[in-house]
Amino acid sequence: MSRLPQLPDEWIDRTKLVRFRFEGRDYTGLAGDAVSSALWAAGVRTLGRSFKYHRPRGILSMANHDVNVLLQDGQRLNVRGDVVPVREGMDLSAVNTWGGVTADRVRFLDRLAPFLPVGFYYKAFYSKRWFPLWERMFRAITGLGRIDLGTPHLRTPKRYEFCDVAVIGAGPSGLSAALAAAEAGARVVIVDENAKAGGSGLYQLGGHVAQRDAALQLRERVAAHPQIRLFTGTLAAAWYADQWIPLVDGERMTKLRARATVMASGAFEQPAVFRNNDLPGVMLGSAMQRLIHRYAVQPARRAVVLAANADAYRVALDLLDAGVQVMAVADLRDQPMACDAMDAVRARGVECLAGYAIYEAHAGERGELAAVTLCRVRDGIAETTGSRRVDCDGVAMSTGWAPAANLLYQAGTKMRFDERLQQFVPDVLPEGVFACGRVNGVFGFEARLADGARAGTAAAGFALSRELPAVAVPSENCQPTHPWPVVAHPSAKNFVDFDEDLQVKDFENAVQEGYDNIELLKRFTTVGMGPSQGKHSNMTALRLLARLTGKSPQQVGTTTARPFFHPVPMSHLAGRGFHPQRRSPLHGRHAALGAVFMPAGAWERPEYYAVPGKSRIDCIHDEVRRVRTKVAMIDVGTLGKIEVRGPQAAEFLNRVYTARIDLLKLGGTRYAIMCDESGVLTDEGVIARLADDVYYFTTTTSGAANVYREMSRLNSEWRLQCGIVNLTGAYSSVNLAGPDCRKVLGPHTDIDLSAAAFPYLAVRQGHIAGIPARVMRVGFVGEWGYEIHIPAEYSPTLWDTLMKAGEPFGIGPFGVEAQRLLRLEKGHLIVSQDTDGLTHPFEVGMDWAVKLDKPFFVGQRSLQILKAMPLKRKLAGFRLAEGYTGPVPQECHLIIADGEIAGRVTSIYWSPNVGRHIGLAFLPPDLAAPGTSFEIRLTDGAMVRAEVCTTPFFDPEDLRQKELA
Amino acid sequence: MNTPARVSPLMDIHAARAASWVELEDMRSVAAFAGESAAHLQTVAIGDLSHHRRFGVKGPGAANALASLGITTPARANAWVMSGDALILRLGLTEYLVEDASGDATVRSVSGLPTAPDVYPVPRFDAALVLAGPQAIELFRQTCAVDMTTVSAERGDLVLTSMVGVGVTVAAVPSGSNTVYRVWCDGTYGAYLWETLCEVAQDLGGGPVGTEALLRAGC
Repeated sequence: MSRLPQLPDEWIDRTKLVRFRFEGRDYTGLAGDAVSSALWAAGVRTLGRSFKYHRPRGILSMANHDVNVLLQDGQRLNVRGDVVPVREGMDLSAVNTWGGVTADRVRFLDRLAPFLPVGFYYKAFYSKRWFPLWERMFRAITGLGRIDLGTPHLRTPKRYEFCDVAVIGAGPSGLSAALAAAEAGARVVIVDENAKAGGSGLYQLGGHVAQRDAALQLRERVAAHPQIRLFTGTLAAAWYADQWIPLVDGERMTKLRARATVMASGAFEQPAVFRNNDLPGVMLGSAMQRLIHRYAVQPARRAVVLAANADAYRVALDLLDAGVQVMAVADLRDQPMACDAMDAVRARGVECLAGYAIYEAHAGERGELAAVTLCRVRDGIAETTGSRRVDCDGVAMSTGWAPAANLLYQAGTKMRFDERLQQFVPDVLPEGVFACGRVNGVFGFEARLADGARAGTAAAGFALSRELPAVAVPSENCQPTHPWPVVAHPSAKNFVDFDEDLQVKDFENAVQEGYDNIELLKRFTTVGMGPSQGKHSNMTALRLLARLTGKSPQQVGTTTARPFFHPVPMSHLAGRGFHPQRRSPLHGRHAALGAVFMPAGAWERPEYYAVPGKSRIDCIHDEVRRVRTKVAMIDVGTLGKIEVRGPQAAEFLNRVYTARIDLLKLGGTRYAIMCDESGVLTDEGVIARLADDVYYFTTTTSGAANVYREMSRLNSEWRLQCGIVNLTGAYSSVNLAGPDCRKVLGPHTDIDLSAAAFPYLAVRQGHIAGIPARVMRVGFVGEWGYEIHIPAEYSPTLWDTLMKAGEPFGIGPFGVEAQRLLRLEKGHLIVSQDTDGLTHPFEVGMDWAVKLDKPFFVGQRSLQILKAMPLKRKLAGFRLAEGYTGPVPQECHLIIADGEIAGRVTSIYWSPNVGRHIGLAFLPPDLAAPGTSFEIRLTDGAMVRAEVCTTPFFDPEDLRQKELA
Repeated sequence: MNTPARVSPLMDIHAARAASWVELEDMRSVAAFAGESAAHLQTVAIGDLSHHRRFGVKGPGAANALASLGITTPARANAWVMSGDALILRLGLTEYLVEDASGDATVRSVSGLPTAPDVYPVPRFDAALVLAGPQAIELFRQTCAVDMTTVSAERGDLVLTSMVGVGVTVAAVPSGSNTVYRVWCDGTYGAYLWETLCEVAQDLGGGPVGTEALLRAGC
């Protein structure tokens, strides 16, 4: 092939040579060339191998859908040769070959095709035992590129963009729409995946110079318009609710938020189906036009045009202008609709054969197109009598289009099949979504401009909430798509899907096997599941299925179009990750003390404080010992902290919690639980009454946001006179616990800490180190302790004060793991660890916390029903045998009774204070009586015997909360 | 007893990068960061203004309660006004955030509001940032789904949204002839927000600046 003389809108820079390698050989292209155009210009026609049969393949579309020309470029894989610009120094090789694209050692698979029918793998490789072997083998034979794990991480930050009107596609209709919308005052973003705007207006010419000039002028007006931003090289990859559109360019993904969207995405030209329609040299008519007008590359020397519409004759004219000898135009139609282009082709002496098709294409020695057989055709059946062979090195297929309607489908557009157009067109568009141009079934250049103006004006009117005058679109009578561009052949190899090497017979077999609806057919044959996602195969597959089942295309329908409709680099999807983390104001203090942090919801909490030379478990046990024997402090600021104020605060909390909150005395606290409507235990905490109309309470760390949200929702429903204030971040809290805690706190507070003045479960307000504080005497860890709540900005000051004050008493911090062990010794459960999404209070022994005689509370009705029913399971304490030294069960290990699953362990620890392994477990009620023995199954299947016992395991009389202890 | 020290929610992360400190409103603040460049203010600069005292109030009676203290409140939701030297933000319909300029006593008066049935005090512990510079909009575009070009300082606009996944209040405020953006978030998210914004700002050629540079720039 050769370069053509300079063309008005070519994309190449003839002054800049680009040297690159392909399959080990050196080539030279021009700046602006796609890899494929540079190779085609250099005379290379076999550019890749097919996925299944390893057949040689060349250019098909030059439109970002040539999935058989995927290339490895160093660490970059699956580079699309038909659109990726060639760069200096590129070292390219075709993916999916063994030994190179010309000498592929597994090309013999093409001869085994009769033994590899559609769905063969479902029938042959179902054995679980052998599957890994087959998988390895197929992975080795097939595959798309080689991943280099040493590839450096590319940072691809995401970005947001905003506009009034987003126009998808910068072809004639899209440019016209953008201009109309902008003229109406809208801020417009127009995107196109191509390197330059203008679309088919600049390459589907058929010698129509005025069209090119009009398209260029339109492009210039758009580029110069202050209200329009034009993004080229950018793919609108999906459409999400509320007009969110991810735009993918070479560097990043941009999330575009529009008020209205105009889909001007055009149409995909569709391949005709005949034997050997995949040989290098057979390509879409539009691909040849792109080669000519964008890259100035002559697509062939001698070409045959397979026609079924007026576009084909424009292709023929463009080929003639490019110096290509057009051997014949074979038109599938018996009586082609007359058009100027056809007259022009005939006038230039080209033989035009009506009612003819290509029966088959013939390969030369190198497996590339060398000739075709033409014959008469009737409804897809060839009449081989009178057929003739025509030598050629190019076939332009121009028999029809399929709308690029993927984003319209994602937006929820109801489509209908138009018989005249032989394509699906929008029937009912969602609010704020508009369509124009080919995707809207409008094909003529002038008509597309008018349709774009109509859609752009309407979109601007919607976006700006303004009434704008409607724009008229002239009617058309064209028939751009042939209803049956398929020619049967007894020897097959008439390909429908070039990604997956699917032939016509594969669809016949699939339907025969019962896969006779479009979704089943897709999954069985894998049509449309390759990298091109069916852009060139789905419509033909749909026609085949319609014909095989006696249905219309409308009845067959289309498959679901899911985002993204075109492959997107993983790096773009990953982008910069945002994973919000909360840190306690004491985080730095913990870190300085050697804290090993663990995630707790969005928080980072100290799991334990590491001590050099000590193991994790020894550190935890030291912290436990300190709490039991001296004094220690834990940061509990992650607990949810909420305040309810107002005359009806008590009534509100009475409805939310299962307990009688209205009876809580001023200055008192109460442990309380809340349930959902089904009676499931959802959260727990301590409620303190600070004033007649002021309650302050805690929630679990993970439940804080949900509890606040649900409470806000409930109060917007109930409209009680009270306000809810979330203080989780504004307040900080620590728990100072241990026998010496009063000695530490006393000198620094104006609160009377005597047992009489500040009894167990009381709340007091005062100051600590001058900091206003709310202090609760609670005993989650089973020791005399104070939970101190203060404004968060003073938290480090308080921590430092108490740690210094505690030095003489051996104070230290304790972490989450020590706290979990300490509370387990007291038999206290943790909601979401010792409960699950079905647990109700009666299963965990909290009958006492549920006041069913209240007028109302959330979950009351369900709990009344549950109360009347026998328990199915019960949370019970258990312990392993004294001196047990074997493998220890873990949380979630199953309890087995009579060979069946009977329950599970929810918590288990070695308790230094009890001297045994202790835990909590869900058990059937008949196994939950103290003294009952049961078995726990370990991960390896071994059984460990345990015994139910009463709780608390430690200090069952709560003597440590009493002065005399 | 001495006045207890207030500690910025960003104190832990500032500690490693601060070059000099200053005591503002009983809170240790970063006067200048190590490696801080004046050029940051020409691209995008991030500053910590957490030292300003602030307090919130919400409820149906909140506006009247503030008015009874002589505090002007915004006439519309999601807007801010200056009342004396204090910044008054209306968050939604019935919630207000009052932030003192240094030395002002408005917050003290609000936090001492007498108890009233429909007035609920909202103590605050915010990480309070300021984003300044011509690339601030680009920083928002990489971190926030709201079009900040439509948020006007002249109108006194503010938005309740999220940045990098963190719930924030953003107000556009004038600074000389420019617009800067004040950002408030729950202090426990402050370290994450600060670090993430600094990372994005660094990509844009910007970074953190201390209070000295902010004062010079009139922020």
